[in-house]
Amino acid sequence: MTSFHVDDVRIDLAIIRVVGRLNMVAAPELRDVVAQAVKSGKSHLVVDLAGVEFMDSSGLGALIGALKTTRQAGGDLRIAAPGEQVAMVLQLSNVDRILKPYEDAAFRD
Amino acid sequence: MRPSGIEYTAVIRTPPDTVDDAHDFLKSVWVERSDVGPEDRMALETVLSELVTNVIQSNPHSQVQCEVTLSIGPDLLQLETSDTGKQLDQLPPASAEMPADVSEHGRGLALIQLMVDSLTYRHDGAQNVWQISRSRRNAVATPGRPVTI
Repeated sequence: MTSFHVDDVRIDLAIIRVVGRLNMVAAPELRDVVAQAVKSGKSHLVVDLAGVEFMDSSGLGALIGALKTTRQAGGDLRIAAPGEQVAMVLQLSNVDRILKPYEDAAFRD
Repeated sequence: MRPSGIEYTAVIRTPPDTVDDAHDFLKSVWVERSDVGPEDRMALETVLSELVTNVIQSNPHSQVQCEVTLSIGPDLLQLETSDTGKQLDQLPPASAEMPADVSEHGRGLALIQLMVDSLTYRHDGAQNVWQISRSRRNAVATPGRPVTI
C-alpha cells in the first residue's frame, strides 16, 4: 500500500512524500493528491521519492502529469531523493531531462 | 520457454489481483535467491511490472489470468508471461522509441527493451505469450557506482 503525505512549506509550496511503490495502482492516487494540492494553492510541489522502493512507466506518467498540473497553475514541480531503481527508470526513459531535482535555488526562495 | 535454470512461477488473476502481486512474487523469489544481484533485480522487477500492467490495461472489462514464470540460470535470466487476455491487434515494434518528453504514456515497451537482451511476443491460439531474456550481471552494487544496463 503506497502512502502520500503532504507537508505545507509555504503558502504556495508543499512537499509530497511518497512511500511504497509508484506503479499503476498508486499512480492515480498521486495524480489526485497533486490535483488537490494545486487546487488548494500549492502551485509549487516537491515530490519526495526517498520512500519509493519501485517506480515504473505508470509512475513516470503520473509525475509528468503532475508537472503539467503545476505549470498550468503557474507553478512548477521538482523531485527529490530518488533511490537507485527510480533513478534508473528516470535515466533510461530520459525523463530526468524534464523532472528536475529539488536542488534548485530558485525553488527555495 | 526452454528453461536453463530453476523455475519460479506465480499465477495472477486480475481482478482482484493487481500488479502489486507480481512485485510480491519477485520479492518472494529474492528471499530464496540472494545470488541475483541488485541490477538484475531492478531490471526484472521493472520488466515484469510493465508486462503485467500492459496485460491489465489491455483488458479493462474482463478477468484475465496471467501466469508468470521466471527461470534463473547461472548466466541467463528468462521471464515469461502467458495471459488469457485479448490478442494484440498488431505485433509490438522490434525497437520501440520513447515518446515525446511530455507524454504521460507509451514508455513501457521501450523501457523493457532497454533492459533485456531479447523480447518476443506470440499468440499461441489461446494466450498471449511474452518472453524476455537477460544475461546476468553478478557484480555487487557499490554505492555511488553508476547504474549500467
